[in-house]
Amino acid sequence: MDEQTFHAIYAGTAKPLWAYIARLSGRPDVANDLVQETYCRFLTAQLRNMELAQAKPYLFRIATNLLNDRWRKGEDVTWSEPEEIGCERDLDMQIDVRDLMQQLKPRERQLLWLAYVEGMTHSEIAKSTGLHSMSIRILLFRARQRAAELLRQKERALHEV
Amino acid sequence: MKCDREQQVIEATRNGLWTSSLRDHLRHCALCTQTELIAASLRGDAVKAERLLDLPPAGMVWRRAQATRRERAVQRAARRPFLIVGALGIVYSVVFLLWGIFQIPQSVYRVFIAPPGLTEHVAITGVVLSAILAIAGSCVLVLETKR
Repeated sequence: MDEQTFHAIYAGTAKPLWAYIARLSGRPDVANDLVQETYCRFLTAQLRNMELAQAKPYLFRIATNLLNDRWRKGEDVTWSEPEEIGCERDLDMQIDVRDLMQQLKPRERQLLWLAYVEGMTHSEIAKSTGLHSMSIRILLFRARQRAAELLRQKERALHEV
Repeated sequence: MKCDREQQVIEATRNGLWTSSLRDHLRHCALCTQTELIAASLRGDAVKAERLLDLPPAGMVWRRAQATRRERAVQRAARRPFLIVGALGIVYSVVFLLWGIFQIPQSVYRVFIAPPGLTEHVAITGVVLSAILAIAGSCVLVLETKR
């Protein structure tokens, strides 16, 4: 892969990849490290020139594997509060999503994020997570049900207050 | 349970382009309402998360990856010579030990029988010890290189 192609891929994927790792692990410092490690592995794999559309699921797959390794080792068990620098805070929204992500299982967080934030199709999610594409639909459905229930609970609690 | 327009709802949440028919569909479809609720919450959070970014420039990541690639290539290249050196070390040590045993068999027996302090005794103990250490060292070298 030549440097110019890499620059284009990096520009198109670094931000979403960082957000994915940061929200799944709950730790921006881990996201900084893992994003660099992901691109390092991507480049050392000595792939031929790739289109952005092909590279994206591949990069998310590497990041997912790195995150899974950390979880297997028992790391990132606790979430650290990211500091909001230079931007206004929408406290309700922020607490909702962070609470939601914390209460979901890692696999559910991954599926929801890839489907609803990245807009990936089921086959792309399968490529990014290593799961069978046939099982994505049902797993995603369950994750969505659980997330919706948690959001509704939060809404009810806010209304009661 | 699946709605055919779910992907359209996700796309609309991502790019903000809601057609009137999609809005109308959203009012009647419980699944898509659920999807929109979650997608909007996560998307809003993603936009915020991206504002916290402090990523290194692409050039720096590229250079770091190139350095890692070179380092791994050197490691791969150095692996075979280390394996050969380790194997030769084992062969040399075994031959040396056998030679030492068969060359001076009487002295070997005397080590265990005669009282200590003899020059032969010290020399033979040294030969045996160095051969054992060479074998152990070669084994460690081979195992480490294989790992």
